[in-house]
Amino acid sequence: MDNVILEIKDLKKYFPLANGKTVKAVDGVSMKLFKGETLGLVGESGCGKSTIAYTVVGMYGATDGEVLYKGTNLAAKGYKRTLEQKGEIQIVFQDPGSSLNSRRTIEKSMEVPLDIHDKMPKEKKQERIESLLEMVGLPKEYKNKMPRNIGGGERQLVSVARALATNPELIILDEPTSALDVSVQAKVINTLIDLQKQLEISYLFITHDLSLMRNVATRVAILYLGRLCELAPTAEFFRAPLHPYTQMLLSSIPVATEEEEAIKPEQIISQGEIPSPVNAPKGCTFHTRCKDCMEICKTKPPVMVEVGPEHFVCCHKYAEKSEGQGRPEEC
Amino acid sequence: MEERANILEVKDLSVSYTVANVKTHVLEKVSFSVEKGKSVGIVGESGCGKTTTMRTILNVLPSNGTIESGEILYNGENVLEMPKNKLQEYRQRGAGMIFQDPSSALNPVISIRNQFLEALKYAHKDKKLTKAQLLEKAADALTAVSLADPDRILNSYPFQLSGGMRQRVCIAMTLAAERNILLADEPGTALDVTIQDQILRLIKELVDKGELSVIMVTHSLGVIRQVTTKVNIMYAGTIVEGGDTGEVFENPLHPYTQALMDCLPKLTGNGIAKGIPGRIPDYSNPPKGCRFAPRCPYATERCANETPQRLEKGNGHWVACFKAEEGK
Amino acid sequence: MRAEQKETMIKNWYKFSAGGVSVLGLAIVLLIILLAVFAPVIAPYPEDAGAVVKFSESSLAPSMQHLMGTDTMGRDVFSRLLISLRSSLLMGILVLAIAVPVGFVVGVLAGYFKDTWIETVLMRIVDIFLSVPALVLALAIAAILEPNLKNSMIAITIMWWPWYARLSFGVASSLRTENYIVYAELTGAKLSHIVFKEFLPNTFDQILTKMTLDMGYVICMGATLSFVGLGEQPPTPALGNMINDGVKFLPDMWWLAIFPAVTIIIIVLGFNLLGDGVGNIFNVEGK
Repeated sequence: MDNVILEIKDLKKYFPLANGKTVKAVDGVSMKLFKGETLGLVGESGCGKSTIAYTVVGMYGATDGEVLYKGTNLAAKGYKRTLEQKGEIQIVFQDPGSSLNSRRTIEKSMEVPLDIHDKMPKEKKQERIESLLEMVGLPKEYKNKMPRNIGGGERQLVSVARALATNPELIILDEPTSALDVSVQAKVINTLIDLQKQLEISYLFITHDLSLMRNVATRVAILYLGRLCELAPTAEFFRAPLHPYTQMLLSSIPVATEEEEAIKPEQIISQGEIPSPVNAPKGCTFHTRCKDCMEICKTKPPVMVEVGPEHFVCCHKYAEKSEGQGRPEEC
Repeated sequence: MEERANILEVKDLSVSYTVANVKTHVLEKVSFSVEKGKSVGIVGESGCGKTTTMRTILNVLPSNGTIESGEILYNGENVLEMPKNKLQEYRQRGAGMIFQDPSSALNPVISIRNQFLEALKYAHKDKKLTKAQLLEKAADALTAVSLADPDRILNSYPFQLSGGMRQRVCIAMTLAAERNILLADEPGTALDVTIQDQILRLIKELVDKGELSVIMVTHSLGVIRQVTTKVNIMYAGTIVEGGDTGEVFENPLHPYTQALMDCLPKLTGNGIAKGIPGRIPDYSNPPKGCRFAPRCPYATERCANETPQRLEKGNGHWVACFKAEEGK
Repeated sequence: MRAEQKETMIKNWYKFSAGGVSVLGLAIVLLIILLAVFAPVIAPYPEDAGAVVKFSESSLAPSMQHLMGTDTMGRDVFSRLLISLRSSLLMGILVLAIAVPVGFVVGVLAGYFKDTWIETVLMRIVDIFLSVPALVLALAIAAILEPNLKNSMIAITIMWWPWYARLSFGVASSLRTENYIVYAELTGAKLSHIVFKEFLPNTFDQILTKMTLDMGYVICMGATLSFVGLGEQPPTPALGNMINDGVKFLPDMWWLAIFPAVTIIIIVLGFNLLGDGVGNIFNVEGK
């Protein structure tokens, strides 16, 4: 498909520790992001979801593998991103407290990308900032306010407006609403959805909130300890979650209504704790907590197989069913 | 001691803070009760006064906080007027608290064993238990919260335990001290979903066994539904709706509760509502009538000027809203 | 917008004056500045600042004619004191005007490039300067150079900037992982943008507080150098050389040393109290 905007191929990111060990934060992840879609990257702490995001925006280099943005490998050794690419790939951070400089007005913060990417006379700049604020549903008078004088949700909206300043094609959303109340989250999320419809931006949405992804994502990818477990279109994903970890995750979500309770997979009591990524289990990294653990799981890492249309699972349980036709990549 | 159905009753509690000479009226006539061996939830968004409620129940308001009116009855005795030694006993044996972030609740430089001994020494001081007996109690409590190998846990320091284990240790301390009430302030929010699930199950199990009464304070409607039997919806320092958890969630009556339910992303999909416009009111000058009125889509003139009273809607489900007066 | 600014002003004044004595500090500092600026006008005998000899009036005790008495050459101590305030204040302002920007840039760069060789080099240099006692260093530098006001300022500046480097380093190294810094980098901002547009506003509070406190100390340090003969040279009056002249005649002609000494104490006290108040506005801990 040629409408792939971002393709991650066998991405690995290891962090060396002082004691000689390494943290394998991301250990061979492959996925594609299509133009105009929202890919939800979901997992618990230590699963590597943020590391993937930061590698894509360029905060880290990759240990191995490729990050292909419109065909260019951004993660190639020694590759320097062009200013254009820096503008096209933008990020919105999780913490509304630290994403804006607390000592500068909203206007000054929003000037940062404009001054770099789109130099213009002062008056035009003012207009542009006002129109960007209006795009995210904030009154234009907000440009004179200090971050501490507006709410957390509004600060996140300013971050979104700032990201829009460079006409981005891909925005990495790093848990943009996890620090917000649901009534505030609703406004931010709806704004993001509207903007995507208007501007055809692609979102890589990092989150731990599967319920949110049900309502936002086009496709959902589940990560566990630096590896991909399952990737499927949202409707399919929630209709028939296959990976034992996905099932456990879904059944752990505290839900507020009967209807939701009804569609949760049968009760799987979550057991054990997430192992440290410093010494991840051999074989399938999930086998220590898996209810269906088999002998093979303890020694051999499973490979990603396509079990349905666009529905990928990385689990030995499904390996034989689609022998030969899957993507024989280690995941 | 006479047997009471309610182990804790909060009656018409109003609390204010004074910051830089400005008085903020944070809690306004908050009332709810906790039945013995049951769990009650208080749900609300940040700044709604959940934490102040918790602090007042333990009678540990910061020095700029004032209790304007109301009482908190623990087994019929007003916590707010207890003499010092009684209050001490209440805090050591009556109500204990666990926090959102379990790492700050434990002293990082003292072993778990010594933290247990310290806590239990006071809680069981009248029984003259030996150190070995106290440690036995600690080990029992750790087993009760499904921590295998209590000896290893007792010998470790907080940093050697994971977040989930630390939260279990905090709960175990409450159990070992034979406290009656557990105040849980967003337990598990700082933890991963699967670990949070384990903690919530544990709390529910302990309640079902009748070992604890729980007050669960959280912003998560899902957590409330999973753990509690009764719920109170809190908005801007007032409780706007209450009743059996299932009933309130299936049939929310207050516009705030309804809006909150609509904003919640659901596993069934169908998108999210647009959110609640506006912000929580300024506590130094709260709305005269219903505190939700400025943000309420159904607000009338009456809502702005009169405070709605509790209206029973059957089965213990009540709501403080004028809209509920009309019709069913 | 206007109303908001006014409200901020009122709030800041509330915080500033909450300590009470900060207002006294502000009054002292304003008074000193006014006296220094208008010294030639206020001074009853402005010509006494030079090499004047008036034998008929020598060694007079304080009186209505000579508020602080006269020295052995018959010069009015009050006039000389007023004139000397000018070089003292000038010294404070010039020293900080150079030491602060230099220290800020060095410190912020070191903080921003924490854990790289840049930090190691810059901060080791800072450490070397800080490890030598300040006065000894200043004395050494001033002694090597020709003794005059300019060189004493150079000496004090050289020993003063590392403190601002360390302060800025602390702020920058704690802020460098803040998301707005990361965002600016990722979007392609230049280093100068990050240093002056992002770090500067965040370091400003602490620098301003420290500057206010330091004014007094710099003036005191300048007086020390001039006391040992390494600053302003006679006959031009300076707080230090006036005390030096006066101590020879203690205790009989006490007014010669006591008035300049008390002036130094009042200056240091004034800036200290003011600095505390400024710190209260920004919630910066006192030095």
